[in-house]
Amino acid sequence: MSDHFHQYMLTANNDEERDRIRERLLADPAFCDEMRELENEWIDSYATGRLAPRERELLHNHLVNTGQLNRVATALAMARSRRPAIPSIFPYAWGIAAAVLLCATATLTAPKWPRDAAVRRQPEDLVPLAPGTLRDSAAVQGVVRHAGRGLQLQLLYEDTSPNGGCVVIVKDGAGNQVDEVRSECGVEFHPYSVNSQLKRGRYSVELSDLEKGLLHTYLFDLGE
Amino acid sequence: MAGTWTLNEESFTRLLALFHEDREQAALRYEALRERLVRVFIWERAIDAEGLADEALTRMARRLEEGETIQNPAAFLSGIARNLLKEDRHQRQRMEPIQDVPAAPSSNDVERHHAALERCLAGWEPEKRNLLLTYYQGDHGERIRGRQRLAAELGLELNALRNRALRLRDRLEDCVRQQVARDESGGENTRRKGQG
Repeated sequence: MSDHFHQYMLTANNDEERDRIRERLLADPAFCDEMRELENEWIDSYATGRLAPRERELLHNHLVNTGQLNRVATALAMARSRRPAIPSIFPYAWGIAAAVLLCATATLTAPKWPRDAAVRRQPEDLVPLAPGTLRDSAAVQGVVRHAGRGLQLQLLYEDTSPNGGCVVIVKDGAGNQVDEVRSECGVEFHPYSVNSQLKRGRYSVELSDLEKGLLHTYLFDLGE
Repeated sequence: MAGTWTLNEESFTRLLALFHEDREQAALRYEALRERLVRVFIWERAIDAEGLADEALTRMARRLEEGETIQNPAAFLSGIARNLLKEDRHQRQRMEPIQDVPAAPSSNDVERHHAALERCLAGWEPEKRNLLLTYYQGDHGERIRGRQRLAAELGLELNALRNRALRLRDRLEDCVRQQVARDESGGENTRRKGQG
């Protein structure tokens, strides 16, 4: 995405350029509205996982620096409120749209990994995830970030609801299971805590319904 | 800041006259400009955007009283804003400790915001709720087509529709912020009572 908002807010401009845009924002109400609308579009894209990692990092910093990070939660809430009912392939979950949050926290072990989370807890560690068989073909939002002394993985996606228990299995690149979490899954967000020690490399996360079997597989890289 | 000089009725009237000869029209333009000024200060990462916007307008009123001729209020204000931002950044560099960068919202945050948002929207007229949710519905191409349809249905220009949607979104976000803050302070009070 490249637009006025990207140019003014997310790019390092020289003073002359900033002065020129600031003056136009003050003089031209339509231009100011356009900028505000673009900011909303960026926030909505961020909230629904439609930004590339670099753009997400830039916007995250912009929202932190301008005290607007709470707008992401509201944008996500808005996305849920305007979502049309999706007919489910599960007869008992007809018309229900669900959101599931997978959350894996692991203790940091790799020696090259930054130890000071307070300094490096930046979204520069965001890793793009290759979606598996996401039913609605939307991009899955994935975040890998430092959390305390550990590393946190979050997967956020929307799907029709399997009504019942879920199992989340994390496997390493060789296909070895490194963790398994059982929890309820359904129409609301559910956190999953995985207490494995994750090293760099490729992993898969398999989300299964206890009754229906495997629903989705997601791949992610814990890279440099 | 502007020293001991304070804005009085006479200087404020002089300031308003800069925007329009009719006082009511001038007041509307003044408010709209102040709103944009606040937005600019937020985007420029000011500590107190509202306070700086008022300070900028006060400085402009003072310059008018001192006999300055202002041909282009926006350009003049932009210059004042630049100076204020320099002062603001200087102050922030002295005050700001190194802070941890906040993380993206958790699932609990989203749950709280969603519950608050539904409560806010429940009190809205259906047409406003529909306008807002339809305006922000779908991905890029779908949004554009949806907005064109909506503008045609409502008999509005796209710019006017955008302005209306922006205001509704502001209103909704303010309401959600207040609801979430109320929920949080309510939860905090309950915890305190439980401990007491």
